[in-house]
Amino acid sequence: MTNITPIQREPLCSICGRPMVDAFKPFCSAHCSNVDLARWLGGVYAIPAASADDDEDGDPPFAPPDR
Amino acid sequence: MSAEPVRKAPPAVSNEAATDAAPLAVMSQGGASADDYNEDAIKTLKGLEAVRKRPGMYIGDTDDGSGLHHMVYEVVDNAIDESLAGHATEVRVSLNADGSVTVADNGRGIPTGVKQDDDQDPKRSAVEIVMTELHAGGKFDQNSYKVSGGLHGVGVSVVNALSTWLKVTVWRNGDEHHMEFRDGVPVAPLKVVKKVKDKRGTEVTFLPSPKTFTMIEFDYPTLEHRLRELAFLNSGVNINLTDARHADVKHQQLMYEGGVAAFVKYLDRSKNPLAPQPIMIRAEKDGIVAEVALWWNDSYHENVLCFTNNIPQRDGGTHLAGFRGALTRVINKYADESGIAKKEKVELSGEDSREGLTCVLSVKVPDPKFSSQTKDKLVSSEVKPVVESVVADKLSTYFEENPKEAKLILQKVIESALAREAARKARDLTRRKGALDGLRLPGGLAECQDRDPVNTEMFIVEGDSAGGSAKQGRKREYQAVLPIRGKILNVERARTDKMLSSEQVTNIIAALGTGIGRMVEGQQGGFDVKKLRYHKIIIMTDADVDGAHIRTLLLTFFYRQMPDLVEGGHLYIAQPPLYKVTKGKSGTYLKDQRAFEDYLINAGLEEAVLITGDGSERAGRDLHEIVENARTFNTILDSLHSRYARHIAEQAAIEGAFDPKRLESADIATKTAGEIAARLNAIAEETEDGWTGSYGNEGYLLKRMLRGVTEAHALDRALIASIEARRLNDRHAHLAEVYGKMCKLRRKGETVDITGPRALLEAVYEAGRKGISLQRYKGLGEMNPDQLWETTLDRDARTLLQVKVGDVMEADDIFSKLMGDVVEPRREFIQANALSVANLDV
Repeated sequence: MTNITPIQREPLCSICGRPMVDAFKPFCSAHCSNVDLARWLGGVYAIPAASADDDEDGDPPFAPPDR
Repeated sequence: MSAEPVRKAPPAVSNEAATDAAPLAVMSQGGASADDYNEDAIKTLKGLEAVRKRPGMYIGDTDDGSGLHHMVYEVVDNAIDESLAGHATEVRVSLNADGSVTVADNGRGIPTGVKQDDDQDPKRSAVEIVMTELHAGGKFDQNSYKVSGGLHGVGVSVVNALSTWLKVTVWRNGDEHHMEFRDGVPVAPLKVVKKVKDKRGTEVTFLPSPKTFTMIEFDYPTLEHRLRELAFLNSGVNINLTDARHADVKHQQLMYEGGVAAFVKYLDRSKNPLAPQPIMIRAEKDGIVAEVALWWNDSYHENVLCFTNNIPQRDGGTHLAGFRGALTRVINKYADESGIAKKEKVELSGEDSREGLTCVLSVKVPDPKFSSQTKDKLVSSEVKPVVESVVADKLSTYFEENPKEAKLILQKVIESALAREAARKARDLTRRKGALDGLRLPGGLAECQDRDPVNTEMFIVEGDSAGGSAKQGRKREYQAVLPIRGKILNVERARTDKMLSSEQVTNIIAALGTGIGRMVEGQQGGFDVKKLRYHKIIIMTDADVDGAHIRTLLLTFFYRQMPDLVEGGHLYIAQPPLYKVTKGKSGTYLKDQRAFEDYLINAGLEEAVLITGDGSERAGRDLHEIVENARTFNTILDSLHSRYARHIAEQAAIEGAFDPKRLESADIATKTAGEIAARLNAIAEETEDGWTGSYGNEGYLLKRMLRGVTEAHALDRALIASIEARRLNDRHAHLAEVYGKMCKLRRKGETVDITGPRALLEAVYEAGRKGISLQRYKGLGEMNPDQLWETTLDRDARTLLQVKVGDVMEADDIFSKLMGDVVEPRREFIQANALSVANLDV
């Protein structure tokens, strides 16, 4: 918990990383916004489950914070 | 002027066949008088008369300026050939104040000799024939690409025919020759004006005739544009353009090495390229030479310029078709093989590969065919297969040899396809709803009765069983429920990914009624927050990791695609309880771990008194604060690295061992170590004491012998210097006051020894747990409809978290890291932040 990387607050386009343009935020253009939309509509975005690839380096599998 | 007549001039004085290398007549001969000349000229005029009658056929449009400028190109073309052949180093084009144009080169000069087999009498000079006879020479010679390309194919005689006057000066073999024409008719035969030293070349100056051209003003940018094109297409040729018509004389040198690649770089000079260098293709096949330079930039515009024998084709043609075919084929193949098209679930179309593409496609074709006089489109069918095979071949090789660039290009193409696809789907989604004005609502949605968005709310509920409970438990008057399922995706190995399927996303959009996509000016559709069908959109997910993932996905989706919804304050997160605590007959719902701890503390402190070492009694709010302090202390302690023993660090903190001042003197530090040991001995079981403390290079070291085994713990310098140690030390005064001497907790007649904050916390929790039964909800589905209503749905009892932009930005950030392409940082992130993802408290 102590080594969380600080969240970057520079407003950059989530798709191409160029500066965000207010009219298209959080993107730089209608194009990038559409690229993102296509991925939502296509069911492309997937969050890897947290217990994912931990078998490789022997780190303990992550467990919910139960005391 | 020079090279052309060299080829096309009929046999000269020596009667040798005229070829590029043929020696040409040397001397100019005086010939007949001016009067005779005029009579004979009538014959010649017949040919030029045809040009004047139908100038459009020879030079192009005489009204819009294109024909006018072609006059210049026609003459320039010859000068360039002389340059390409290595005979000239410079081409000069000058717009003069009197409206005329001068085109000059320092080449070999048009042959000046008298043609012995001329059919006219007196026999004319080669210069005169070139200037007065149509198609004089080998324009249709299949061996030279150049001659068959342009409008220029007609020869400089057309320029003469359409000029009020034309003057030609030739420097050749030490003589300066001069000849002048009016309306195409020679004023006098070619004559030597003077002797010159070391000068050669040809200079033609002409004034376009207003009888032919309605527009006779030359446009500098038009000329500059075309001459620049020629300079690129004819690498190394040096063209100097001057506009001397105005007081401010403009001058520009146009000379480029590097051919079509340099051309592409020039076109993209203010763009951001994807690859460091353009892709360059040059090949010859079946007598056709193809030169292509391709470069992708990060814009979305296609810019492909086509040339056949240096003539531009505005409308493309067979060369462009061949190029496009090859490009689409190679990119599709590469996308399939790399698996990226499948991963992104997208089909590529030809136009996707050309978004952001700048390309110069130049072919040299013998005897090309065009669809029209203006040569705007190439129709020679033999060109397509040649360009197609050459481009496919070389482009495949490039992709193989430059995987990094290839990947960037492919990514760009895929994104173009995605954007195109999204724009189409967004239109469909927005239109579908509007078409029939009855709303097409998704099947799973349980709609509410009230139609006024201001009054209504929609719950997005994860999971079917939870959705079922919510549907039963809700107030159907104003609460709608849309169940969604976070699909589990089996990816490689044992990994399972969480995702929102295409159907779920579409359902959400349909239920909200807002449409989707960016509103583009002048176009219909796009997301419109004004059409929102419920003013509260409430996300309700399980309080576990999966639930957190689904919530992260939803928040990211809303933030990216419906930012107005978030900014308008319409997005909320429900707070379903994690625990239900029952004590006797009363039940309490607790939303999370912290709330549960709060509950335990409150219950555990009932009637409790803490008796400190000096005999004072602490209770009530005072004691509550002490416990809260213990809780914070414990959190800091827990955040230490696992190699540090918690109970040792705790006692050290009470003793004040983390005060940096204690380390300034070895004596004090050693004394402190001893005191920590003393504290440990005081709290240890009688048989298990024997702690000794020392201080050395490693920091504090605490040891004891236990059943013949030495147990040692270090509180090293790294720990003492850490921020956690500082935070522990900040609480020293409080710790010393409460726990400095052994204290006791008395509650309902029972007394417990308290050795430090951890023991206090434990004792309080322990007391709080007495007589309660605890239910932990693993998911929303475990609650029955009534429970869900009273904890989460009921407006009067629930707590909702309103989602702020900062919250969704954070979700997006987590999401981006989770989605990242690079595996290593992603895994690190997941492991480091597993807790924070689960607890994502927005």
